[in-house]
Amino acid sequence: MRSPPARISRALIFAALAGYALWVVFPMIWVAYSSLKGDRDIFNRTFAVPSLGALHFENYRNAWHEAHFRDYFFHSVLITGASVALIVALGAMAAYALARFYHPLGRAVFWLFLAGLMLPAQLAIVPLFFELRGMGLLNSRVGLILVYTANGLPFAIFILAGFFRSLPRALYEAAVIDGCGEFTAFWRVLLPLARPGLVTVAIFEFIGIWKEYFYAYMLLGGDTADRARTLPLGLANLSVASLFRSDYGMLFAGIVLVTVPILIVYVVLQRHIVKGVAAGALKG
Amino acid sequence: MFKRLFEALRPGVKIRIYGDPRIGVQIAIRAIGGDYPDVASSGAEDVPWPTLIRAGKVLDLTPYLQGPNWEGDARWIDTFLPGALDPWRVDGRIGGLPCAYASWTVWYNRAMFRAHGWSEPRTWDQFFALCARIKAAGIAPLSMPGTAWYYENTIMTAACYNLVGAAGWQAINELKPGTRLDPRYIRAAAVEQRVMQECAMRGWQGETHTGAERVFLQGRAAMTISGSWLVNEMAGKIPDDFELGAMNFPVFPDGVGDPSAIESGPDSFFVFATGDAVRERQAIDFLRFLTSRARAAAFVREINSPSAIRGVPLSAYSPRMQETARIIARAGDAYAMPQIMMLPPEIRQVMTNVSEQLMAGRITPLDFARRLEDTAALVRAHQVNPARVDDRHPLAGALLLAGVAATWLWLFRGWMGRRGRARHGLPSTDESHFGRLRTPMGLGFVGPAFLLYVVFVLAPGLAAFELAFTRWNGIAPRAWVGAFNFRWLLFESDAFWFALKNNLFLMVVPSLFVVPFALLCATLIHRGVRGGGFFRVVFLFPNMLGGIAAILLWLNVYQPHGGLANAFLVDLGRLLHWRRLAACDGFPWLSTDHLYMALIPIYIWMACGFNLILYLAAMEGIDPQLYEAAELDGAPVWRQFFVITLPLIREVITISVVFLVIGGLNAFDLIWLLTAQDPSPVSNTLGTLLVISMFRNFEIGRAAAIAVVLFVLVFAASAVVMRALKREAIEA
Repeated sequence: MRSPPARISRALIFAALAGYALWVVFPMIWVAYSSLKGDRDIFNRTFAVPSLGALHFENYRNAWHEAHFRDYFFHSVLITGASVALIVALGAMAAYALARFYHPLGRAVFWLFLAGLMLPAQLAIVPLFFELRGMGLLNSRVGLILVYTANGLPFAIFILAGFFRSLPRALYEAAVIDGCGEFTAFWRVLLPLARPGLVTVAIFEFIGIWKEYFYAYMLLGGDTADRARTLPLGLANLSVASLFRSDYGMLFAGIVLVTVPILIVYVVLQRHIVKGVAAGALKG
Repeated sequence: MFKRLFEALRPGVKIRIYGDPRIGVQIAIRAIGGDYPDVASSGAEDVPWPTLIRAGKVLDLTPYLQGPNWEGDARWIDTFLPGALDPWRVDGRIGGLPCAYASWTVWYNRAMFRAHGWSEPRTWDQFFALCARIKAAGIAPLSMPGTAWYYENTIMTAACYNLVGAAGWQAINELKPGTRLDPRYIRAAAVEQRVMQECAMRGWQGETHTGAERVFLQGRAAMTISGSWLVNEMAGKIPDDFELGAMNFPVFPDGVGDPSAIESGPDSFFVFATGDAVRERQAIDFLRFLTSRARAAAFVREINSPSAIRGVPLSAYSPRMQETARIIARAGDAYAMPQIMMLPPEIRQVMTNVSEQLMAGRITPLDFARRLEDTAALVRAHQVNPARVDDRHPLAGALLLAGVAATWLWLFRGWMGRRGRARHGLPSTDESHFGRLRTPMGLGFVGPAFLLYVVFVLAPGLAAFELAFTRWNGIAPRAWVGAFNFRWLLFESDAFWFALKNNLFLMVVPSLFVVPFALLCATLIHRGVRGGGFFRVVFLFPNMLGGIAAILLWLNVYQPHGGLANAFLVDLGRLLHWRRLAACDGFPWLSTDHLYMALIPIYIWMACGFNLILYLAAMEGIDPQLYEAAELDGAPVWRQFFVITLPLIREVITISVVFLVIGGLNAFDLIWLLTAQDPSPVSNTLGTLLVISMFRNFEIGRAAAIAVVLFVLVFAASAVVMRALKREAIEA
């Protein structure tokens, strides 16, 4: 049985945190319901909830078709999916080899990868632009996928090396005694055990790449990038365009469209994500 | 429409037309990528056309203009309105061809003017008297967009042209010595200052140009200054009963410039020198077709916007455009904004900056003129000797250099000292290894990842160091200039120091808010509260969302009129009868003055959750018996926090501060998007300055040098903290 003052202070703490939570959530809810309002009402009657009879679903229709969000969405799914898959696959192999096998150069290579965690994206961008131009990969999906993959590898290797290092040695030995080759041992025995690490890497890379803007802006700027432009880029263009056409309903619908996939991933995998952030901190 | 007609007239020629609100940036990127379109048109501010014209990458149209027009009844050059071809005369060449034409006008609410008995002012004195009367009637005289400073600059341009005349205006644009200290130039600056201080509507600083137009069309301001594109831009948004009036800028009684002259803003077409004579000829043929009288009239009808071609009948214009059409038809001359935009980037940057200060009343028109005269002198000196560096920031530059050098030396010494001692970190060959990494397996497992990493991260990263020592505009051959770029940035460039100061702000200030707040929340949750797990999940979400969607969300929260922030403050003010809060409507959160303050709530919103989770995880690692013991000793909660919690999670706090500091150095998206991709020079961070140097100014070597500076700072900051952490770990 708690004393009344303690109960009051508990209630106060709860109220304070709830207030903060409301402040965090309300702007998002506001955007979500405003995206169903008419263009005029969004800023003229700021708090008003759209009347159920007059929901402006055409904001979404316009964003999806007219503002080409259908294409952007498809490109984003493709580019993010391919990049994440490549990062996880290549990162796992490299992390495994570097963490559990000795090579005179292994340490140096490992540290080179880790140095990538500290390189600002801006450092490489200027030469990268011309390099991709030379390869004919500017304004293309493949170019962006390769750039995202290369930039995601340091984080993947950093996390996965930790996971592989924690696996017992006996497993590998048993696999080798059973006649497994190096690759089979990795693929059949060790990789499945590192699954939590793989999921962590995949989640964080997905979230990072899905909302990536800087590289996309710099490398997909040309008008031939029609077939590659991603959602963040489309959304930013829409935001600038709304300065000229002032179609805020469409812009709000666009913000919601970009948010929903992250929201789904987050809600489904929240435990994993919260744990991942916490674990990353303790290791870092 | 035109495309199909032309393709019918000229069989075999296919035209691909492409349009985009950010077309300028895209052309710039294509030009810098060496992938030229045949013909391009864009606003002047995004593409460094003068550079392209001087480099011969854009065709000189003079010889073609001497030839016949499309109809074949006159010289092509004579079919354009007076002054329309002037904006793109560069070194005697004509690079740009106007098609869509615009004139800046003062739009006014005719019904409102009639109701109050106001009349069109002809002189600036009458204009100010009129504004005083409008204000006395309780109406805002003039709605202006503060986020696009060139809208305000049209006032000064108009006043200046009127005072100095056509020849004087040309001398100013050629940066002739003394032109900016001319009393008439200063007088023009004073007019701009007075208009913005006395007549502009409250909150104009944060208004976008469409926002300012909408406020005017809603009848909340009596006038606005905008181009003739207002009617097209606001199509469908002008109330049916709105009586739109247009007038030319006021003049001075002692002005020498042609009073009928208009301030024009042609949207010009440029023909790229692709080296393919057939394509170039077809491109010019197409432009001749577009500028024919019939096409021009059709264009006016279609777009509801003026054309630069003579002889378009007034009947082609819609009723709302009649007045503008007459102003344009009457004009004996035109002076253009793009001439300002064609000035070298240095002077444009200073101009943006001092214009803002002038309008805010922080400097006098004389200071304004002095700063510009000094900058013009600097630009002239650079034109004579490009390798010259003017020591404008000797102390700051030297301090930065010394600071970085000292940090690296300290790191290097520590590293040398540790080499002797036992190695730690990754174990080398102990029992944790499965075996030796044989070459085939090494290549198979590590090779692909390493190759990608080297090609797309390491190699370009290293190449940046080489590029940083060159001067290159992406067109002319590269020239090795030694440390010039660095010397220029550190010692001369104001823009660099503005940016670095902003980065410093972002490195320090958000941490001061985010860390204590996140610690507080983490402690509260840690002490046990119902729904702790739920709060964690909710608080972390903005961090996951992050990026573009979150920034655009805040952009709309901060809308001056009707955004969530101001609407909330106004309602709160009404509820509490607190008049100062209730008057918040229109507060320009994102204007240059308030932008960085407005970032703090965004940072708390986005970054707190992440740090909170970090702290909480660390707190949960603390042995609960410690707290129980403290509880028995009667230590109050706050003492427990400072004596037990804080020391035990110090390491995690340090790490989180490193994340915030590095984030502050790298900041790009936030500023870039909140300023609609066009930050004022004082709002830049190093990240946005880099992009502007590369894509707007074509200063590629300089952009690489900024990247290198950024890298040196980020690396030093993270290395210092890691060293400090390690040392603590060893001492502990």
